[in-house]
Amino acid sequence: MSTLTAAPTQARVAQSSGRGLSRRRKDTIAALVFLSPQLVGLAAFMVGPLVFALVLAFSDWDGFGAATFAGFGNFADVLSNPRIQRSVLNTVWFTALQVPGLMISSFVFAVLMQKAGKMTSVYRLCFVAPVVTSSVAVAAIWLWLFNPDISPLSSALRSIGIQSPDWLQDPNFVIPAFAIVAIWQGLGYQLVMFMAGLQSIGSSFLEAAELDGCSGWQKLVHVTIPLLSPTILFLSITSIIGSFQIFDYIYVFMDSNAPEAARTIVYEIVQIAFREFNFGQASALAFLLLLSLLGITALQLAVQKRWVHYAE
Amino acid sequence: MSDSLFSRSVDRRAVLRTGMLGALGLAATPALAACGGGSASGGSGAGGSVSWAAWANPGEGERYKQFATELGKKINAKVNFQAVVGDYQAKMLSQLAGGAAPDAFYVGDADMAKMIDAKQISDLTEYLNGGKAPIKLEDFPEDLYQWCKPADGSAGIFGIPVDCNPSVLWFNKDVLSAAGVSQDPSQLFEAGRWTPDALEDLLGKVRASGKKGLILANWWFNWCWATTMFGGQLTDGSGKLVFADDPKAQQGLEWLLAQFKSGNITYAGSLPKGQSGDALFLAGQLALNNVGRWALPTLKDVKFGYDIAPVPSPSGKDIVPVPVATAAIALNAKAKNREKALELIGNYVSRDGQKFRLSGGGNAVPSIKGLDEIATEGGVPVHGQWFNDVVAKGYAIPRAFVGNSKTATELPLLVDKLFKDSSTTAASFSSAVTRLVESTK
Amino acid sequence: MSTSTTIRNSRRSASEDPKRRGLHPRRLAGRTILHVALAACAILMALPFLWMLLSSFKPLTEIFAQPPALFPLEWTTEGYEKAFAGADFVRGFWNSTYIAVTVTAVSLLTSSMAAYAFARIEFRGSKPLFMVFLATMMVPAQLTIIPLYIIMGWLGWVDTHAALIVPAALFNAFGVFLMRQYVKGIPKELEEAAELDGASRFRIFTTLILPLLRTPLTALGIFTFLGQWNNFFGPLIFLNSDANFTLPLLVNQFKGQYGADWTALMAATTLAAAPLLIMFGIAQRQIVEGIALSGSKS
Repeated sequence: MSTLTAAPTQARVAQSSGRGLSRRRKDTIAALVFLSPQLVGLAAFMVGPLVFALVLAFSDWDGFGAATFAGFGNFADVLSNPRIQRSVLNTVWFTALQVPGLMISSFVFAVLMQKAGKMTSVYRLCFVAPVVTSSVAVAAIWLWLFNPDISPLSSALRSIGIQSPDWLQDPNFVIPAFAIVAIWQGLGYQLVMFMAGLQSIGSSFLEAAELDGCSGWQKLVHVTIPLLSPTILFLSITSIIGSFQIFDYIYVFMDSNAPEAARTIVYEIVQIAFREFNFGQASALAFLLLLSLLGITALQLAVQKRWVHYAE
Repeated sequence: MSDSLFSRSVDRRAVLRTGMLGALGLAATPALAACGGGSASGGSGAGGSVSWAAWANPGEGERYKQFATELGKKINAKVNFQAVVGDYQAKMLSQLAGGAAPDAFYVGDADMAKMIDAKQISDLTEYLNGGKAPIKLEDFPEDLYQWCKPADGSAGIFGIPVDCNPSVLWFNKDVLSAAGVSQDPSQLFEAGRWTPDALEDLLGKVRASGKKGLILANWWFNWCWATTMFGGQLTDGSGKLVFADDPKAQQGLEWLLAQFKSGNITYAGSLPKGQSGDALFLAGQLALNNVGRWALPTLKDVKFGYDIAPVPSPSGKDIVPVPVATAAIALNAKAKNREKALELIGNYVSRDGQKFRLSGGGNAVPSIKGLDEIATEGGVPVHGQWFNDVVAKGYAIPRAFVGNSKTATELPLLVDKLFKDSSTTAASFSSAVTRLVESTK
Repeated sequence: MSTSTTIRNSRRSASEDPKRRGLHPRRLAGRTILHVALAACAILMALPFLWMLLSSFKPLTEIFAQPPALFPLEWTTEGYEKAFAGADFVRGFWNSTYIAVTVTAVSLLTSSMAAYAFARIEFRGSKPLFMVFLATMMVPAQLTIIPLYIIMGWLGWVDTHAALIVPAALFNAFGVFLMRQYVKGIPKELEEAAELDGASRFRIFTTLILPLLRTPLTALGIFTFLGQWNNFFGPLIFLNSDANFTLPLLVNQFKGQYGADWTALMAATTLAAAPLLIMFGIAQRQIVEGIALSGSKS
């Protein structure tokens, strides 16, 4: 603050020099100045390519030569292709497993870790290790864990009499397998977010609740969860976006010939663009994905008033 | 204040967005128009500079760079090598679309037809027949380069195989002897008794011992040999798929499906190429591994004894035609330095070039005739000569499988489905594959 | 609106909380169970990383040994020797570090500037423009890679680090979104006072807003750094010469087209991942404090 008050005259001079302009125009100019670096980036590296892709969505283009206008043909092809329909189901199924699984488990661990005292940072480091483990190592380890012939997981299961499934080969288990890996790897990030949220609630609310005779469970339901609801909203928006774009795991586990049961929307986009050279269809599919995500996010924000509480 | 994020004024937002998109669309247009220009290669060296791109592991990359230096002296130009260390197709497509692709580059079997169709690569016939090239097409086994011709049967050769990898059976001697197999496949072959029945018998014994006999994937390299093992034909001379109507090819497929059913052979589905088989083989859990010579470097330090054998034959002593994996080097149709690029290609696949690239711990077999000493180098594996013999009789991927990029991506999916479905018969398999190839023509 | 100071206070009391209570026998038993359970889960989570780390010291045959063992029977640095012989890791480390640091530094500044404009300045089109920023988070990167490549060719940036640095430094929708939430959380009264004193917007931003954003900036910085460090697709497409390669590209070399060089691959992945974990270990307090505010508004 002292630095601010140190130079009032200077600032006043600056203010008076702009006397001719209305407050509104001055604000607009100021906003543009502050926004300019990001606006240049947005325009050159995002909107520009996006327009190009939008044009492609209405064209036939194989990556080379001239594109020809295709109307809504690509969209019709995408919507009627059974392989893509399957990939949509797979993606939704993956999201339905991964997002709640991830959020519930990270929330539970975050609550438990609040009580872990000095060991917290050690545990947290362990939970974050998967975040920084490279996808190559992740694939190597999980290919081994999912292989029913050599996996220690399946020998452990077998010793208690359970026949473990052939995760990556069985069409019913391959998406759950990806969800398990995604939860395992994403847990650290969400855990850190939840722990931060919990710490910001502080103990005063909980102590007050305790004085009111609330049990541990009641505290959780009536105090902790409502106070964490903004964090929950933030994480659910960002993790649904991330989960709908799931692609890397399938690619590192199965390369470019994953079976239909394992293919997701973005996997199909890459496949159609770079393996089948059909950029028009790939762009059309990508725009449909973009629109659905916008819809889902808008819906989440529309219903948030009913359950999200802000501590004001 | 999330209520403000997506709430009001959809129309205003739409208007603003369209306006911005419009303005930027204008900015993007010249970018597209300019995509003919701007190659990455600079120019020094008296004859200008020339570049090529390939996928490469560090060992290969090192070797290719030495090759670039040597070649630079020979053809009097600055030669650059670009290693592509990941998604090769995405990288090449971006470079081609941006007009910044190298003068020559590797083309995988699945992409060749598309590259020819889209006129991204040039016909090499004139160069090969012009008398200045260090190679002739006749120097290469005929069935190894058919896939580099246009799928519609028109004239031209658009790539030359850089090296190759035949489909052979590597075996773990320790696993076999532990399973009570007294004679290993190489001994059986030399004794003239290496028949499909002998293989089945061996796989049965391994299965009884509690280990895996053989794991096969949906990759054509892994299953097509079954169609030619009994002397059947996968394709006819013109490249048309004929295995559905060939009784011997059907016999082979039936044999394969029976092995899947009995558990003698495990279907590995769609794990990355050979990965699960490789891991199990290295772990000493798998008796036979159906891969190419590329497995050699990984086997350097293993503690078990190993060797190779060809796919069995009805006579027990012949080498039958089997798949050979290969990639080709092609000339960029917009090469900056066409002359030097052709010299690069010629020298790359010539005997000298292949010898330079592949000797001393290489992981492939030469694609040119008369370089047998590469595969037998160091006497590891003991019967390395069989690599050469299999290449001489083998075939590269049928054009019917890759003549259309949609077929190329759909085929592995179809094969996966068929292999997982226990009601699949040789006839239903063949007709489904043939139907796919016909439908996407 | 809770300010950062009250949060800091309440956190302090929270961390002191367990010490204030006596340890009943029942509570002690409960805590023991809690620690055993958490430790077990933590080990399970970290096991793959440990496996990677320990496997990088194993000879090839042991990596695939059956039954698998965590610790090497025979310790060897062969993988590291091969990794260093096969790729210039020192250079890759330098490339990755300076790209990630540059992007992080510039992007923190540009996204907090934009966030300030969105949170504090009223101007026409503010909300729709912010919507566009949000919407771009939902665009799959694969969709725009070819036009982006064409633009880079046009700018002459193919095979230069500028192709990686400039777009990431100048455009970070996640960063703008996150920082906007924080700026909105700063009480307006502080600025109003400064404005009455005649301070310009620029002055308010640099001397008042930025210092208050220190903690969230640390968190965003770490996420941005992490994303850049692990970025594979961009460098793969834009870089040609191996002197320009970043760590993920060097690591991926050992995967090969047909089969991986497993000992070198394990060593290389460890070399690329370990610095991040060490960095997190040191900075985790900062990170958690930084995120404490995130999501408190959305």
